Amino acid sequence: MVERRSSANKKLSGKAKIKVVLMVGLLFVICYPAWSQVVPKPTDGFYVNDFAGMLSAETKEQIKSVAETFYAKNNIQVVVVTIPSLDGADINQYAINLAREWKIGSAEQNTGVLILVAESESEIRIEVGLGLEAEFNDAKAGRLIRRCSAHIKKDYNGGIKELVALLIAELDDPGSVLRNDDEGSGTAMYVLAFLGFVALSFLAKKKGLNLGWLLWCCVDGHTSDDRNDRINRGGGGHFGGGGATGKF
Amino acid sequence: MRRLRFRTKVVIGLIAVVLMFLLYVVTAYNTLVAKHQQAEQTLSGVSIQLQRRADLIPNLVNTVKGYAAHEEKVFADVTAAREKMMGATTPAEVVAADNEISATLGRVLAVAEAYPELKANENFLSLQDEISGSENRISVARQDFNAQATSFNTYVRSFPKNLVAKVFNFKELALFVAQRAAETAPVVSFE
Repeated sequence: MVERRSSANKKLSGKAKIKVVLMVGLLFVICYPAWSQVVPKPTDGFYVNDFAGMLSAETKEQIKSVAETFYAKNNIQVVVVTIPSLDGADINQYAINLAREWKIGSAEQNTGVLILVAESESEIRIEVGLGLEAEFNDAKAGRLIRRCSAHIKKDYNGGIKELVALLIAELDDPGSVLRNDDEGSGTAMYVLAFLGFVALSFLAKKKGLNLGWLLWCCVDGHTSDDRNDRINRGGGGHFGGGGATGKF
Repeated sequence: MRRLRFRTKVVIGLIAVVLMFLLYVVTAYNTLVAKHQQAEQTLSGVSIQLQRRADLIPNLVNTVKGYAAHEEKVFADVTAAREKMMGATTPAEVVAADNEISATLGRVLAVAEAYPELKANENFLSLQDEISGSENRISVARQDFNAQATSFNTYVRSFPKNLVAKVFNFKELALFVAQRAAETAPVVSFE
């Protein structure tokens, strides 16, 4: 580390520069495993990805058609993913990585919801996009999981179908399935403040993409990939870690 | 067309080189500012969530008190930790208060384990969800900050941008150190 910094401060030959780049790259590789954990690629179905083989063809078809219709109507994208095992990973971490990687939900409104089911750990997480956090808060997500967990445990197909149906009904008309919260009147303020900051930070990033950059790419031999940040690759909705986790 | 004199050519060439250089500096400076600002915004997100979690404490204490009034020490400790968070002004104080809140909150939730009725209380469960949610957001925001700060630091360090960074006094940002135990939200069991 010290060695690298001192070498970077001197005038560098082409070879040394390559070395610096390699070492910085290595630093990324060392620092990133926890973050850029490998998540599977989405299936063609996208709305239902049954990697654990927990669901019947009929269930998958039904969930897909409901979720697709709902997305067309309300611009809220609900995606179900089952995985055989977390392989020691934290489900919260896994869920946010996957939701961001797959770019779930509209990028303008940040309205994506991921339902992640880990079969061998019997864990389930509902990851809620930033645009939905105010009306579908963590307490609601937790309540919904608790309501369906026994059913899921007994019958994967029926339980997950019920969870999706209730979730969509609640998102369609907040308060219709799960009571709206009043205990956290302050919470809404924090959510708003947080969303404001997130919006600002993305704005700041967009502003950074000025014309000068284009020239900079040519001058310095950078690829646009280097600019592309690792967190939100622009396509999908933003996730900030809202939602709830539970057991079934 | 009249041919330009050699000296005029040199002057034009020099002006072009200076312009290119200025453009480079301006671009590098702008990118530094944007990257720095982005990281700072994420950092604000972290403190908002820390405050939010602290604000859930009185509600949680009241709910748990209803079932386990005699666990006064735990309530006093968590309330004191919250007050520390409210009064924290330096980053070091915030980190210390945050660690204390994490530890004392864990004890409050452990107390709840002994009271099945409390564990089934809908208000308590909701608060627990909100707290876990806050903690998850804190850890996500910290990771985001680390990713952005690393991107900024790499930019600051790499040649020749490090010269621009030096001139404008941009310093590398300190990263959050992963505190596995403190950052992982308490495991909430719904069995």
